Parts: sequence; structure tokens; C-alpha cells
Amino acid sequence: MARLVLTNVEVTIGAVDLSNHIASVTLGSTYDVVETTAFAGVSGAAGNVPLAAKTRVAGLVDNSVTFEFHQDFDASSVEATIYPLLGTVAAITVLPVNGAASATNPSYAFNAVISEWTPLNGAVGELATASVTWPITGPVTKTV
Amino acid sequence: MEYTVISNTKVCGKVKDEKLTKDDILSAGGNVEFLLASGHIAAANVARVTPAVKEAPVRQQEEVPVFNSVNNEQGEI
Repeated sequence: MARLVLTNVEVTIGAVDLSNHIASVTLGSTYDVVETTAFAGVSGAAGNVPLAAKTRVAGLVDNSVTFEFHQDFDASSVEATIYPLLGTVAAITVLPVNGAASATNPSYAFNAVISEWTPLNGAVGELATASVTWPITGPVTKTV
Repeated sequence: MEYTVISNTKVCGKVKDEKLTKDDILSAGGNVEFLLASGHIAAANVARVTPAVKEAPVRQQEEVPVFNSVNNEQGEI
């Protein structure tokens, strides 16, 4: 399996392709770990479970996505797309490589709560950027 | 209802001046009102109405009575 250097990730937010204004993307899922230790398990009666070891199962999954945007105030660019979505839920898709989804280029589709935005961020001489982490509501659908 | 992409960013995989339908937008998870308001798309099949210009009726020039500028009486100059 070839390693992948990210150069052409495709990101659409509310059906608008903002890939050329995004420098970083992180899509993550974390499951709650729910402890299921009970007296019978600790006693070593349940097969391979060692004595006095806790047992756990996966609980609810918490998904989130993080982007680093290059801010752009042009008409129908970054600011014009994201600012009206603040406080709403937007459909987002992410593909490792711009193009059709396939087994080697899976598409991840989800709905995120546009919970934060930094219209202006940066010091003198720096590029205006906006780093955001948006919680995902519902599942992440992977299409291959 | 058809829409035309008017922004420089791709919308539902379509580039500027390409057309898309409401179904294209909805299936891509987009919102028509939002895309219209944020200047990404514009309605495509709205016929541009040019109001017909009617010719103004030709008014016949009326004879203007000549007044004497001195005593404001109609008379000979």
C-alpha cells in the first residue's frame, strides 16, 4: 500500500469546495470506554479474562473535524461561506484526493455543528488563518 | 429549478457557469437558500424580461399666441 502525501485533499462544506483555502484537516473519532467489570469477571471465571482485570466495551462515539483555513474575504469565498453557517449544522465531505471516491480514496461524509469561527487571526506579516474544531453530529459515513 | 454556479469555488462539483439542479444541491448536502444568499449560485431559468418600449404619441404642436413683452397684451409686435 502506497503511503500518501497530502497535496490535494478535497473538502466541501455545504456543497461548496473550499479545498484551495484549507491547509490542514483532521477527522477524528473517539469512543467512550464504558467499564463492565463485574464480580464474576474479576473472579476469573470468564475464560481469558485475567484475575482482577477490568473489562470494558466501547460506548458512544464522539466525532470531530479540525480545519485550518486561509481566510479570504472575497465574494463567495471562505468568509462568505462559513460566516452565514455559524451556529448551524452543515454537511461536509472530505476525500484524501480530489476526485471520485474509491477503495483507495474513501469519502467521509458527515454533518458538523459550525460552532466556532475566527474571522481574523494573525500577527503582522502573517497569513490570516482560522483554525476551527467542529463537533460532528451523527455518524461519519465512509463511502468507497 | 436550475441554478448556475457564479462563484469561483466549485459547488456540488460544478465550476463557474455550469448548471445544477435543486436535486444536485440537496444530494450533495447543500442548501439552496444558503448558496443563493452567499453568492455561490444564481437562478438559471429565469427569463430576463425587457419591458417593451411604447412609442410616445406624437403631440401636435399648438400654436403659441404671441404676447407683447412690454404690456403683456396680445397684439402686433
